[in-house]
Amino acid sequence: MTNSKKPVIDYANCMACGICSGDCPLSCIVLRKTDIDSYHKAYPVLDDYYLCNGCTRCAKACPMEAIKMM
Amino acid sequence: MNFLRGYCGKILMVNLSDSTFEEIEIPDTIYEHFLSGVGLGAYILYKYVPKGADPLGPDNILGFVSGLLTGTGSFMTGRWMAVCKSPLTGGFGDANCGGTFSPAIKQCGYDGIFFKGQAQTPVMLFIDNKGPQLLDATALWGLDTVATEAAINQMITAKKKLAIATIGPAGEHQSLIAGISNDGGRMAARSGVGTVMGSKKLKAVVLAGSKMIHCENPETIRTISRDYAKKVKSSNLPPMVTGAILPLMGKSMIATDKAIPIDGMLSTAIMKKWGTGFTNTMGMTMGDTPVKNWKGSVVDFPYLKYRHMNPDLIQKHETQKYHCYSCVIGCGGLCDIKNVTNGRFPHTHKPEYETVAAFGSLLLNKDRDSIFLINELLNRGGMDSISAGNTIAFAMECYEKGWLNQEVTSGLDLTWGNAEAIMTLVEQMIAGTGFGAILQNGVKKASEILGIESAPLAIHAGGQEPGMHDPRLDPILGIHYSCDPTPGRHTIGAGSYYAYMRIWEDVTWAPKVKLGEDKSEEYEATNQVGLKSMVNACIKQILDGSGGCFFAMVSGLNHFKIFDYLNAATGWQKTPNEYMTIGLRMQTLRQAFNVREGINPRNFKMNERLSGHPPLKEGPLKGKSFDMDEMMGVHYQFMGWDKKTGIPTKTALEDLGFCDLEMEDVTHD
Repeated sequence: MTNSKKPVIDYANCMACGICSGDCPLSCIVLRKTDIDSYHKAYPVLDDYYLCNGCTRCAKACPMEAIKMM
Repeated sequence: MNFLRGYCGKILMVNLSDSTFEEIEIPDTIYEHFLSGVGLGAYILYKYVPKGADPLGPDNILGFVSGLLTGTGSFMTGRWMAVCKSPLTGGFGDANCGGTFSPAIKQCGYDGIFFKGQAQTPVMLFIDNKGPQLLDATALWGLDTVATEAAINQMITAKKKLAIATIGPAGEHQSLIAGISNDGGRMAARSGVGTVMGSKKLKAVVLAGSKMIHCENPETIRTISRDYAKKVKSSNLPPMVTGAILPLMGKSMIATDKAIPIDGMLSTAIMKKWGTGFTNTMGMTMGDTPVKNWKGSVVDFPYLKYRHMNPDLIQKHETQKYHCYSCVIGCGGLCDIKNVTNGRFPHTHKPEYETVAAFGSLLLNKDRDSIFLINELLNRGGMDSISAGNTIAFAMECYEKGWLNQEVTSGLDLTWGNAEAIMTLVEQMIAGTGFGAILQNGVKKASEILGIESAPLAIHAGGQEPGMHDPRLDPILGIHYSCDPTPGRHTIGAGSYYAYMRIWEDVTWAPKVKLGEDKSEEYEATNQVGLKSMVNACIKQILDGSGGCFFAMVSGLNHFKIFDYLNAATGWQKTPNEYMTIGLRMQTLRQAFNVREGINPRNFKMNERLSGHPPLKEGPLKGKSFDMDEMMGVHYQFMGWDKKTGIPTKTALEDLGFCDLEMEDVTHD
């Protein structure tokens, strides 16, 4: 499955739970240290834009609906 | 068979003796009786491990089992269980761990991956969407757990990031306190599960599947998750709160004998800030943290020493926090330790409270830097820090008494608090060399070698060293140390956990903790105590069958809706009371496994020092004691086990129902 739309993460809603990263079949989304909150947590980032085939599993898996395909 | 119920409906059985694979379908009714996780693990072990099997022989089975809720969109449910017959206790063995390994099991299409037989040479199992294969792991044998993961990532290319569980040198050379590591040093450490893995010459399990996990009502699960996340997100300590107040909090908690039920979300706010390290210093002043092989108190390890374990100081090394899969709390962290290990190791997982206490106050060691190093050594070596710390504490007390000298210890000066000697000894235990070769099998074996007179100093329950929480503060904790089929566990239950989880709001027969209730009553073997401990045991099985995190449970079941999650995942519509019956069945099956193996449950009674015999003469727990035998009896009674023997009664077994399992030999009239 290939989709030109890619996941965009809304960090205001993201809980850094890693479900998107764990469920991505190609491991395009990885958890990386950020300064998004005061805890310096590892948050998900789309690590490989071109490898991502837009399968939407991350967006469907996110309980917070914090991922949109755009 | 319904594959839309959160579980996969099958397991993989790998025979390492002849390198064959068998997929075994698991009927829905098994999940309804035992859930997944530890329950499914217990079912498989009871069914397929022959009675009397040598824990380190080919007949033992080692399982890696995911939780029923893992991967369903539920939060705080990303833990997996290692299960086997334990070489430490001779009975049921298990250990659980977070990280990212649990969903990877189900993404390979299995609820559990089990191993029987023994390989001739080191192997690893690799599974991707094409199926399982055994690969040669000879080149990995001898590597530590971190190096093993790095090497496997070089050897295997897959579409998905590899999830790897591995043993280190401790498991390879059959130390009885070896664990299994994943995610670079998170440990499923207890019961000697890594020892069994080593006995099978199984170096690693490597997973790269990407199959979907389906459940009955995903929208309902998302709704429950969002509600829980909202509460967690808003649970924060004020910025001015620092680690300096924690000893004061500890003092205030011991100052009253009256129960003050507080909202479990307070524990969540604390965990978000510090992780388990919050209790490094708080536990000292309240008496929870053991000192000097459990015979001392904060008087022996006063503020000037324990202040070095202030979690704020540990967090100065923390470079980032991280979450296990599906976790919204995030208690984990990575610490930079280049400077404190002279460049030997770049980083380590933030030391958990258990490790800080086991290598701090328990040994009168105030050298924080040594604990960072020891933490990484044990994670890489694949050894249980709780067991290792207890065993060294035993050796230090023997040394103090003059029962050991430097001729026996290969020149090590085991004076309390000697950090250099402790670090050397840890390295020896992992390598199985020097005096470490005597301690590498845990405290019970060490005491058998050193002689019968050392037995009272060997702190264990049924061969398993206890976690770093003192039953003299919380006697219900002692019940679980002594009565759980996997004894010595600090996560099964306690009076404090009971109060936090507020289970009486869901389970109609669970007694409510009232404001001002007298906590001193928990030192007596009353029906109330028996009932609370029974509730603890049952809910913990449900949690471990679901892949749930202990820290979610103590945030309060009024917030962490595990029963609603289970119904939404499976479509069962069971009541909390019905789930508690499942929990009781799971726990009884684990107990039945032990009985079948010839274990006398009464022999799991923890060392008498832990029940205050003799009582401490100073400190916050001065004079505290209780009758462990009586406490065990009342717990057995409420579990439906014979009050005297701990053996499940025939009536209880018939009432619970165990599907196709043969239960005749594990009961009496």
